[in-house]
Amino acid sequence: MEPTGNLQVAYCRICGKSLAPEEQHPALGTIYCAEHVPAPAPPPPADSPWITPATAPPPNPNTSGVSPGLAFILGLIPGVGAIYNAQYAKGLIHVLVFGLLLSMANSDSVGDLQFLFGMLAPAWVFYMAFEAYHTARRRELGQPVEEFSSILSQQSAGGVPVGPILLIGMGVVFLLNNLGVLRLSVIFKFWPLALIGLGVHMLYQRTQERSQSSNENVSGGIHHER
Amino acid sequence: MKRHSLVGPLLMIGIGALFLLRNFVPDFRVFEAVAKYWPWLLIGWGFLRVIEVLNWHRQGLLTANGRPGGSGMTGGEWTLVVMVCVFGSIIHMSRSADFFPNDRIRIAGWDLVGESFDFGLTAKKTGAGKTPRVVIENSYGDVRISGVDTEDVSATGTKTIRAVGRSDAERDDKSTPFEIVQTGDQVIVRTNLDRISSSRRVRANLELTVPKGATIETRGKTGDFDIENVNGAVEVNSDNAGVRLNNIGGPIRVDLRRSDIVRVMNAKAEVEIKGRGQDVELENIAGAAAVNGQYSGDIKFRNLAKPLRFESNITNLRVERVDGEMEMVLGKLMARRISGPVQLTAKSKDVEFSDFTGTIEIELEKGDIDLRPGRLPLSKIQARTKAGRAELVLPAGAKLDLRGQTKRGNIENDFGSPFRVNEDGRASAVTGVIPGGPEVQLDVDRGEIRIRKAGADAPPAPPAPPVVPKTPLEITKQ
Amino acid sequence: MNDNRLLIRALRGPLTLIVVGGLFAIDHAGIYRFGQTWPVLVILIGCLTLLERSGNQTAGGAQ
Repeated sequence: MEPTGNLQVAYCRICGKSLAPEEQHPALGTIYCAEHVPAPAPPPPADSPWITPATAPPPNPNTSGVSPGLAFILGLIPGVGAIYNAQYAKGLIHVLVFGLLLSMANSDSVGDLQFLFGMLAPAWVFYMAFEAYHTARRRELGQPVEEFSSILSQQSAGGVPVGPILLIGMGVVFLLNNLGVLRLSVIFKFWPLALIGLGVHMLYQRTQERSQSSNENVSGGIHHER
Repeated sequence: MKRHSLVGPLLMIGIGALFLLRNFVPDFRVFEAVAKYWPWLLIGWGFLRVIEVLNWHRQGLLTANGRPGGSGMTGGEWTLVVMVCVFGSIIHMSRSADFFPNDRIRIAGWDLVGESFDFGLTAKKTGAGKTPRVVIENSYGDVRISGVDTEDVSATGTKTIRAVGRSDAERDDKSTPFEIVQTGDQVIVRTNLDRISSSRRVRANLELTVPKGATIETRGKTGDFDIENVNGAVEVNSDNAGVRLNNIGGPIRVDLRRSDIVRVMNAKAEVEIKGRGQDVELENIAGAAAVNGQYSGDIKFRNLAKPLRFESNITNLRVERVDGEMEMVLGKLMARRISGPVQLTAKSKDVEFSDFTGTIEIELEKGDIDLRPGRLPLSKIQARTKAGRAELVLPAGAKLDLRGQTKRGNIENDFGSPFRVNEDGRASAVTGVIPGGPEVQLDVDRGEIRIRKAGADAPPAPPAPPVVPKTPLEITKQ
Repeated sequence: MNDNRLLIRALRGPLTLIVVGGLFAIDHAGIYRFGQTWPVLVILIGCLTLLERSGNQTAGGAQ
């Protein structure tokens, strides 16, 4: 058994020559021979304000056929906008949220808040449409697009992954409601906690900022006129 | 370097083999198995993929592929999964839920092809006697039974068979003969629908007339039962049935795995309902009633002459008599005109009893308790809730020895003297005696207690002007 | 990209498949209806994302 194991022979994308593992030059998502490997893009001049430094994988040149306008229209249909942008899991989530909003608008368990969900539903529809539009725009410009772009946006605020925890929390809440363990109507009484939580979170963030900027000041950073 | 999953092709081969089997072995009950076990296909599929992914990971072959998702599931695979889910659910639903008798609704499913053919059914067994035991075995279809003044058991009905052509339908019809046989004093009405391999294809709706004094026993898988005017016992057993019974003389027993409604009216003997379902309605029951199981809809009782027992996994209720009505809707138990002893234990329920007599014992983990006796004299009351409010509305002239206490909450005493409220930190208590009455105990862990005087709500009796106390209300607090 | 993260990413799909199949199986067995159990899927998505993020951080990745 070869130590390099299971890598097989590949073929150059341009000339078709067969390449042993050490002769292969991967680039742009496929394999080239030494002759035909495309030159890496020249590093953009660092002081040009219009070129964003590439920190993500190189832009995918294959952007023909992406229409942001179409994405917007398709985005009005739950899930379809995301599917148009090849973000299948996100599409599923969009559908689920839509269905959820509608069933809560029609359910007794939320009591007085039915109208709220009734209003959230069309808002969500437009969110989906615009989201699809913006994602399609970014794809058109060749920028890479994450699977869950703009839903779970915050990477990790202060070390706490807000997005997934929120998801898990909501899932648990609904599950307990459905299994009859802990009804939603009870949990809804706690909604002001969300406000408080947000406030605390923001406070935390801002005190972090303060301590960071005070650190900068101490180490002789830029002085700002205030 | 992209590795393609092996599982997709494997699945395709498997499904192909399944269909092949079905085509060549006509009795192979593929679709029953598929409808029931298809989710396991998804699980197995996922499992195999997990093993594959772990394997690739070990070999260091996982790549980002330039596309989010890596070497997990491809878009095509997900499409297939969605299709499997949709078709699997539809097939399962159409198998176990109600067949649509008018065939207007075409469900996309592998075996709903062809047309439906109707065959009339008729059979009669004379001389069954006045009190035969009639057993009905009809796996799929609605059954309607009426008791009349006769000694015969006669049946008419329609058998609907879905088949590709008339000759196939006729062949199926012949293999499922409709018969009424009598052995001793037992008359069996059989549709033999199980002899057809694919259960989805056939359904028999029957109408029977039986002697008034008959005892009925039914067995079925899917299909409603409507029985009336029978003096014997009735037993209904089904996987999925709506049951409506009216004017039944003997003991009634209903055992269902699934149902949309169970309604029993005018029963002269005991009624026992067990299993799972949605709505339950019992009205005018002369014997003891017992409901045992999980019912997710509305539960209503009206005019039960004997004790009622209701047991589910979150509620345990026993009521001596329901003269008025009692219903459990959406986590609230409301009763009006009932007689105790009443014993209720529940995890989470709001309770409201109006116009009751007899002793009351309520124990809730969570929920409000509203007691409005309405009638005098009072009997002993012991109400306890760990989280919730306890409210007692006393008619003027009530005599009782009141002991109410809450470990954490306020007490409002609108009734006035002789009850006094004592506060002790977070806890409060209200006590007082109007001699000549029983003990009334209200125990709340977290919540408030209110003692009110009847008259704020108009009593159900002829409207009387609200009773006004002679002396001004005294509220004593420290 | 970090191997661990790749693994979790690749496992997302099959794990979801297993859970969905499981929920349907539970529904068909009559224990709990799918209409009641769907929040499990939401929890699953949250957990998977969480795992992914933690995998990312142990690699000393994004701040």
